[in-house]
Amino acid sequence: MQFADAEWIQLAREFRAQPIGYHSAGLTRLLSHLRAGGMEGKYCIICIEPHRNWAIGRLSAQRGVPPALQDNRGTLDEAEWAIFKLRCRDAGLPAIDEALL
Amino acid sequence: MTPPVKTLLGYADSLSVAPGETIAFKVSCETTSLYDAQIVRLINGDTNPASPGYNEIEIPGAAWRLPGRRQYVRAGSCAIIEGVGAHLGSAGFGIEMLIWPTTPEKPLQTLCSLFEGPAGFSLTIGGAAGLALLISDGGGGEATLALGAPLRARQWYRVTARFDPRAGEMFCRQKACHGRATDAETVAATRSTTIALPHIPGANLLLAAAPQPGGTGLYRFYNGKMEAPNLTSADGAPVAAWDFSIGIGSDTIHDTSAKSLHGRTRQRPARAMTGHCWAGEGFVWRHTPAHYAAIHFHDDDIDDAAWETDFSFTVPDTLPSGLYAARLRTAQDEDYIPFVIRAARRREGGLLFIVPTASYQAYANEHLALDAALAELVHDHVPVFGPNGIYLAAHRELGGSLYGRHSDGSGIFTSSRRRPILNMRPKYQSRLGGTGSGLWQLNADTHLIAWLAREGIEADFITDEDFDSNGADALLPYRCVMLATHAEYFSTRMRDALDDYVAAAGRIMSMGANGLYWRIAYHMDGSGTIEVRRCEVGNGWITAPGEAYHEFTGEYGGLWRRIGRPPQQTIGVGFVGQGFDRSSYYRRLPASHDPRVAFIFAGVSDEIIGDLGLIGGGAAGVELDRTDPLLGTPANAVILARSEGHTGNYLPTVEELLINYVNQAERNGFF
Repeated sequence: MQFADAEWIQLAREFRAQPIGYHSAGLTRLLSHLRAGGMEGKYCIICIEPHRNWAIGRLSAQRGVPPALQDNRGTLDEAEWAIFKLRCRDAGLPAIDEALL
Repeated sequence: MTPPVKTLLGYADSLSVAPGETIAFKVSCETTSLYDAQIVRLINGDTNPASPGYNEIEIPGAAWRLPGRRQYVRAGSCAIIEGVGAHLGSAGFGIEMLIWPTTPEKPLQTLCSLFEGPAGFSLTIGGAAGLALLISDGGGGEATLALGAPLRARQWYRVTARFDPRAGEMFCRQKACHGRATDAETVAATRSTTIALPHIPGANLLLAAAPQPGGTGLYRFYNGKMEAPNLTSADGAPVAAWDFSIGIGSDTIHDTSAKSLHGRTRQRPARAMTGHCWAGEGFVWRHTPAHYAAIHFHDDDIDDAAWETDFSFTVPDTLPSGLYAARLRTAQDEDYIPFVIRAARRREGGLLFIVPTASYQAYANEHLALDAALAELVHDHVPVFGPNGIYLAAHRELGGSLYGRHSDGSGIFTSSRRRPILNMRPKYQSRLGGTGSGLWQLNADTHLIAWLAREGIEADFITDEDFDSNGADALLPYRCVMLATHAEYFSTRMRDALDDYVAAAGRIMSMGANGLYWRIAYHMDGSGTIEVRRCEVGNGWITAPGEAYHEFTGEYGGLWRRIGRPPQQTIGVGFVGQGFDRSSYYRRLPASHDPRVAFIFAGVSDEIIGDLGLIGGGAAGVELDRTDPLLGTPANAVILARSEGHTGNYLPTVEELLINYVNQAERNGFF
């Protein structure tokens, strides 16, 4: 997927403001692309402490092998945002300059 | 900091119990030598600080400190015929059967085995060896004949094996038996051998598994269908021939020979499955049972964990009917084993709360986030795993849900309560419950219980299983019946009883959407196991052609709507669509100002209702219903309000679609 810089920043800004919920057509299209990957190494969220603390994990795609914990932690929205950035990076999209958001 | 590790889990021998009766709890404790058990009454299972508050009440005199021990779940189905060795002598044998392997690449899957200690034989498939016959003399001598020819998945083969010690010969053959099979698809081999098979009169014949050497367990399970296994002497004289079309719905397998060497299945493999001669002429196994002579075995079937009992609780007469649990605790972990206490004396003219345990079982231990790559698109958020979800990911032997697939990719048709169900728990958070508290199934239903408690409304409680057993009688004395947040799975007996109750002017409060949706069947054996055959419309999987009729009852499976009894006929509304991100709200409709319904709005002046909450931040969400006179919404129904403004994650359900087009839900006015 390719975006004009302005559009790209706008989508990132929109996602960070509300990771889950009402999204523009452009963000919906981007999220559908980012979320549709296969299971091996797919990002997930691991709850460290209910309602308080979450971390990023990776799925194994193998029966009986549980998600592996990685170490970014924070709120659920922060975990969603961190995974969004990782997936954008993995998809070859430009790095997000958070100073512009 | 790492997430807590699940080390304590269990289940009970029943989902409900009446005063005076005893319920037994079975526990596996993986870490410490002692754990504490306490019976609690569950009021509110939501631990979200934004909720009204987690609330459980400890029952005095119902606490134990117990030694922990680890118990294991041994998944994998098979059939066992006892004492077959006595009928074979030491003069060899022949065995033949039809097979439809589903994972032929997986090594060492047993078609049949017969061992007493180390002496015996096995016929296996899988891996590079392909079909292989092994003879073991019990003294360290072994002889193997392997065809080394690949078997194609989901293709019928007739396989034959023979051992003739007098001729000193072993023989194996696999023959493809689809209509266009060529000679090239038949592979056979013979080898000479000096090995002898001793007479092993105590040996049992196992189909689809082998006994673990030196132990009591089974291993090397087979994935796939099997049909018409038969056993002969080495010169072809019949010993036994099993016809799986007899006894469909039971755990009995029937030997049609004069010896009557009948056997039993273990861990409930799928029956009422199409056999090698099914070609679409008949779709009803009861009409053409000979076409349904196959059993589908799975290496991960689990129907009964068969754990030992750790403690029991006899319910005193003083405890009110309600939702309870055995709370288990160590310093590291806790678990809850929920159960219902039924009323000692039914509340004449009162409220009955039906705990939708069939729906809990349908979603039991679901693995959607692990197995369904596109589940994230359905939910529109990244899947979240808590300790129970991580444990389930690591321990697939606990079995999946009715949305899951077996390890060979075939759909899971049955769900048992005789195993730990780690998502049927208070405090459990599910990503299916939208943003917020993550409320879904049992834990969502505790909010109704908390509300009843806060309002001082007393109710009697039963489970779906009680409802199915007792039918209309279960509802008879009650003025009102409350269906919980997600009463999705209904047996015919439950549906008939509810319809009779409505016809007799009974009142139903249906507290969530997607109710009365899938038809299920409870097994008649009292195990509480349910079966679903998702046909016409699927979810997670869909039945293969010809397999739409339940094994347990012979009834056609699928959606109640497709069976001609849409939920609208009974509760006015029926499923139309879903989304799992944010919920919305209701806007009052003009009909809500009708004086007939003024009592509902006494003290309510708002036009917008439910624009807040713990499930996605609104009262209308996750799953949505609609009215439809053509589907049975009564002509005198009053539609008080409708939801609006749903996110783009909300999509119409498949049975609403005849053809796809953009924005279909909006254009049809669904939502």
